[in-house]
Amino acid sequence: MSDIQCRLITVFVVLIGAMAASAALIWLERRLLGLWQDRYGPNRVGLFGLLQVMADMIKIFFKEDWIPPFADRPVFVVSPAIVVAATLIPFAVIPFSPGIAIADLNIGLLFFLAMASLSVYGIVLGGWSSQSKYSLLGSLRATAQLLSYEVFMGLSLMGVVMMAGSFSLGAIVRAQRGMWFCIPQFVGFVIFFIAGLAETHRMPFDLPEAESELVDGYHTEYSGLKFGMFFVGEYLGITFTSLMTVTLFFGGWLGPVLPPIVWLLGKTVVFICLFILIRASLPRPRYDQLMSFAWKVLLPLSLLNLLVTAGVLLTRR
Amino acid sequence: MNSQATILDELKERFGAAVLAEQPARDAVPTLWVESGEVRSVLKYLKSETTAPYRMLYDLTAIDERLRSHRDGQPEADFSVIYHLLSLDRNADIRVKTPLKGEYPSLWTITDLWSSADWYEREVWDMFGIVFEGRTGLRRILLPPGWEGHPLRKEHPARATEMEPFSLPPERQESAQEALRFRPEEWGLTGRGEDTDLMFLNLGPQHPGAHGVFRVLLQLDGEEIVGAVPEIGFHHRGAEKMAERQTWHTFIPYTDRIDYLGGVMNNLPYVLAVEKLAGIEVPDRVKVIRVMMVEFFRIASHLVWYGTFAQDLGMLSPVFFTFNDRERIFDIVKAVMGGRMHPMWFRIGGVAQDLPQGWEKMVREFLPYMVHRLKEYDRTIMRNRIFKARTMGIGSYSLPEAIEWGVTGPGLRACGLAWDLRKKRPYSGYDQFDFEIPTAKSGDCYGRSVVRVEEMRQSLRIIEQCVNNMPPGSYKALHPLTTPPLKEHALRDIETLITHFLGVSWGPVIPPGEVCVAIEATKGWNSYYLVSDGSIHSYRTRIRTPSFAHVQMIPLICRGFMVADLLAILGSIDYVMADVDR
Amino acid sequence: MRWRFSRVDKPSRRPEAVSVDETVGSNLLLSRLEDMVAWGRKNSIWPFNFGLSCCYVEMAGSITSRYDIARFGAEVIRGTPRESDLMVIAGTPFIKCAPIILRLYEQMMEPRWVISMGSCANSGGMYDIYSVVQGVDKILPVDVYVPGCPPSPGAFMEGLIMLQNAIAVQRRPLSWVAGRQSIARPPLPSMKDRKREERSRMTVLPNPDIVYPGKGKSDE
Ligand code: SF4
Repeated sequence: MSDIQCRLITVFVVLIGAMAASAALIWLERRLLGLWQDRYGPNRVGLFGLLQVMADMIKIFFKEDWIPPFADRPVFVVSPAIVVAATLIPFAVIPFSPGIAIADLNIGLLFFLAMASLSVYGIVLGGWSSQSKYSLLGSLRATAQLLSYEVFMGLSLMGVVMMAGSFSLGAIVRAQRGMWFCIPQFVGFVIFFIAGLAETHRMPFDLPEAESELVDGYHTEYSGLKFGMFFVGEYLGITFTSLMTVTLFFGGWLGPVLPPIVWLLGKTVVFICLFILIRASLPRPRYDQLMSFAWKVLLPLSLLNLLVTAGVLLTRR
Repeated sequence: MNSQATILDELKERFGAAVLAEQPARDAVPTLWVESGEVRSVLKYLKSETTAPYRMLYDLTAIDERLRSHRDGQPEADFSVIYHLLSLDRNADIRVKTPLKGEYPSLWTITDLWSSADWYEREVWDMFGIVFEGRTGLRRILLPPGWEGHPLRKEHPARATEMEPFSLPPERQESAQEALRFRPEEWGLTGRGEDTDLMFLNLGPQHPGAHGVFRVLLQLDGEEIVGAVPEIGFHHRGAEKMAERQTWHTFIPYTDRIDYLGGVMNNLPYVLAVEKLAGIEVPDRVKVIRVMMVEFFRIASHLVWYGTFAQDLGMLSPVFFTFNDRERIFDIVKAVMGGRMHPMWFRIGGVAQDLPQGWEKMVREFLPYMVHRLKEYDRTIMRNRIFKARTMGIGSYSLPEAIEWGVTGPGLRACGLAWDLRKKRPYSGYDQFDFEIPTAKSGDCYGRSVVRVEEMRQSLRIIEQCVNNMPPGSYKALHPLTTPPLKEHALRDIETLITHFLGVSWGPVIPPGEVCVAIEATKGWNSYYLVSDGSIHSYRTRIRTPSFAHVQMIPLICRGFMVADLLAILGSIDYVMADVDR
Repeated sequence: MRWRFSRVDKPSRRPEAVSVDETVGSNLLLSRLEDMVAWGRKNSIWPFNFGLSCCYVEMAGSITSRYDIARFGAEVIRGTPRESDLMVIAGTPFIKCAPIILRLYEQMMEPRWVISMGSCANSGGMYDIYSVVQGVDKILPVDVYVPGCPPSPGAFMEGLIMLQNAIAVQRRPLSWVAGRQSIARPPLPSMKDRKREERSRMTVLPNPDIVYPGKGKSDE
């Protein structure tokens, strides 16, 4: 098998895997929420309700797809695609097992950050092109929130980069052989996780689509497949953020006995559940509270973290 | 009472001939008729000049007097407008009436005296066609713009089936949608701020956070609220007109649906008022049963508020837990009364049935469970830091503001005033119970929440006392106007059977008179002002609901906050649209 | 997979009224695209977060733990009509509200369904009064009527399941270029007729003067 074929197969597997994972995640979330809320959640369609997501997808796929006459047509159509693409592409740089990654770029981390900022555009443009005030407010909130949390996401990772001495994700994982970075870089991990929550605009940071305030925020005017893409994009984002957390702070595929991929996925599932638990339990802060938390608490913290890490590394040397 | 005599004398002395008559009312509220030209000065005197003034405009309404018999001694009038004032210092009410003549009479406004009079006057105009002069914005409030006629006038048909069948052809839909369009100029709002362009945002009538069909038009600077115009009337079910057509007895089911979270809490002021008119004294057992069921519904209503309020602030789970607890209450409600949300179980002179065998066990099991749950909610909701950050200092008003706007119930007590009708004017035997009145100092969303949460605990205490001390006796009064009379009597003697038959097929005849009974309902003071002219229907029923006053206050308390805060404010007010629009 | 050609105007024969169990059991073996689509639609009815009055509280109650319509995949409440499939007219249709109800209905995307919940929405119920439309079917088409004032959450769920079963056998155009363009709906059963026999067999009614253990638990 040629190298190209091998690559293609990996791409294919990852693509399908990511999609399947996020579909499973939707099911998992609904069942877990059910569990925590003293009820069952979807359990009628297929075994344990496993086919629920499939029914939803089929339904959405065949739902009337409509573009509001007042919307900015091309932008309206393109933005959901941007969201899905921008969350799918960075899966390429994740090292799934030793040597298995679609592209172990030596600037993998930077690539991921760049892609993360790209997905904001999908949301912003989607809200703006809908020409609805609720969508507009949603996308304004999204802009402010995502842009500022991106800053800390980047900053919080610099400690990891210093310790690993590389931007390549494979190298970062390998650098955690001795100790997972979540211990020396605990502050970095916490900030990254919070920023990750904000980036995926999940509860409690779901201000761009806060249902009780903005109806459905930036995707209020979307229906059918285009809405489905936003919907799936969100879960892809969660899967990806959990994967990244594991890769950067919890030793990625490292672990004894079991095959590396199992370790990676197992750890990821734990974080996914954490995401869901947080969604089930916390109220939503207000938009300005969110921003001031970012700039007044997270910024100094991440700078401090950077400083201390650098200091420690220098003295060690 | 002494203070009543003095205030009447005081007014007569000061205003002389302008005071036309004094009217005895069954509820012993001093009632006097004042010439329409002098009403404003009388009200002004009462509000600001007399000692211990009447600061709260409790209600403002009207009566179409044209067909009324039994007006004994009241001045000639085609319409009368009624101002019901309240003094918290005196713990006393006063009712000022003014007679009006003519088909579409007019009267000078009092919006300059009380800002809260605005909606009440609009409602009177909408319902009766009485014009208030000297003010702007006298437009329809409950009925859609373009409605013809004024429904509470006696010539207006009550039934939809007496009117042309409703249909919604495209043209009508088109014009109705056009009428819904918001024109800021009409409300005196502009799209220009000092140095920014403002945006208008239409929140509702269908909005997930608006708790029903309710519309607020917001003038926004970014996300900050500069101005707000609430619009109501999407939920107007004509309950007051309905009362003029149903018999005294068959109106009870309609009261359940006024504050639809309050269940039999709504029956209580109505049956108390009718009983007062009829002169029925109910047995102690009835009082205690009523108190117990009413307190269950207070908890149920507060639980719905608790969960949905948390949900408005973005908490996903509490609503499931509080609804579960509510289901437990409904288990008891169902066992005792047979219904869930609308048991319509109180009767004139009693309750529908006796308590079923085994009820104590259900209630006794519920009490410790609920105490435990409330503790849990304290931990997860009330003490949550984000929850506090979202509610503290948001949507606050001061005590004088609250009184000026007619705020009652938990909203009033959150400003630090321990005023609860159950203590101040005990009804249905509340004076026999041992409970406290929770208050808060801040008058903000958090304060209102604290009061409600604590109120649930106090309700549990009251219920516990009910189980422990349920008096024996009959569940209905032995009075000819008790409707329907006790079944075992009806089965045994012909007199009761005839009364039973007449009361059910025709309706009880309640003696003429006027009465107003207020109770501390789930959301504030709910009162029924009944006018009987000795017939099987009421001549006029005025339902004063707390939410109407509270919702009117929204523009005042949301200014300067953000859109997200508005949702917190709406949630913390705890209104129900049926309670606003009736 | 067997493909058959049939004429556009003469739909091919197919078994009527597939039961829920059969559909669930056979969902991996779907042999026809239409069946698959109908299956998807049936199991993924997302209601619109829309309430008018009292009945809405009971409808919301059906989402909560004791009733949990999530089991049927119907808990994804959408705040915007564009993304929802089902509009539950839960409450009284007021004349002032009628244009709004209609507009929201128009804003929903096909395929869409309407459940009229409660006597008010069915017929005006106890509110034969000037401000109330006597039945929401005066302004928009209704698929299922749920009686009650208010219907208990259990009754609402029964209506929802009836709608699901109806959707499973409904045939709608898959695309605007191919196939039939009309919607084939089987007639909905009258529950009154269906349950008559069972009900007339009931001769002993529960005594209201006794609390039956667990009486509140079961819902009718
Ligand atoms: S049917 Fe009954 S419960 Fe439902 S909205 Fe009408 S009055 Fe309320």
